[in-house]
Amino acid sequence: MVDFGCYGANLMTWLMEGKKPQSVTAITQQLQAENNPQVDDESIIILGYENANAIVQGSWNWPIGRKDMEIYGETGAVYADNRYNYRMRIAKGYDDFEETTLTLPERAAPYNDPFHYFKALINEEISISPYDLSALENNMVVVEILDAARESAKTGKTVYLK
Amino acid sequence: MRRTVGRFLSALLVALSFGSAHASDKLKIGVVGLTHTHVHWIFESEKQGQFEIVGIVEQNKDLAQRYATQHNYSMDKVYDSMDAMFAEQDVQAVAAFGTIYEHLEVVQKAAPRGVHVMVEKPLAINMEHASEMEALATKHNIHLLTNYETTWYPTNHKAYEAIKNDEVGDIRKVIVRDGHKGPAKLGINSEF
Repeated sequence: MVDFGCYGANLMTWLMEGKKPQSVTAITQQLQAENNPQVDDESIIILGYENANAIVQGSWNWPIGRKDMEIYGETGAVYADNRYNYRMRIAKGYDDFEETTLTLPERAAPYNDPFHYFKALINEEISISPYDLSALENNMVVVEILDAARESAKTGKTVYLK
Repeated sequence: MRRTVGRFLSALLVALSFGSAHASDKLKIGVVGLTHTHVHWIFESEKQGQFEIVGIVEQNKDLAQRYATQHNYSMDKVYDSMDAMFAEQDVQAVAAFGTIYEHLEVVQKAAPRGVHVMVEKPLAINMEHASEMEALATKHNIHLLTNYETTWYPTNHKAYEAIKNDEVGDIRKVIVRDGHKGPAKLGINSEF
């Protein structure tokens, strides 16, 4: 949950411009007891916001490694399938849609590499917003979400954040 | 005001020197811990010449030697402790690749020296650690960043822009899926 649940909490806090979820509900499981005797290797965290929700699935039980995100808006959806492959679907009728598929190039320096970004920030060539993905404020919220998720998984109850 | 002018001047100096490949332009980075497998990332990135890894803190000398062979660094710059590294090297920033539990100690040692810190995700093991780290970073005015692989994905930034440009309306539901088949099945090193 900590190893891979944090990605979703981080991305969601960014998308919500720093807003915390109102509620955190989580389950954890140990599906490979023989391989991971000390830790839970499966987690699902549900984040409740005022008009939206997020499902964060961090797991060591996928057959194929993945780091992806699907965002569903009121009129369509965007899919970050992996680092480079992006899709957008605009809704038509009941279950039809128009799809745009893109393969994206790497971002421009220094936004393509953590250490070059770090250097540019230290040298004040760029600035950082509190809810940028790397920022301290964003990541304080991530830790708060993970603490709440751990508590929820342990007690079987939803945790409400202040 | 004086501070603003100072910042402007330092930014100007950086801008003027940017692109010239003087060794002095390189940010001096210390690596604390080698146990996180993402550590290979910093050795690969160093090859682009923008920064220099001036010290590595790792007590497991077998692991340090293995990576020294792989990434061609001298064992002379491998230290047993952060104190030992800071005593010998002029470190401007550290990147923490040890366990999440150790992130607090890295900030406790680095922040009072004015050394900036970047940790591998997540920031801290719990809110107690995170709050202490935040207080230290604020008090000593250092950057404290958290590095996630997905921060650098062009697709995530495109998705963010699509939402902010109202291309699919207000967010109703987000699904984020991350992970792999597990360290054991992947044969990830035993230190991890």
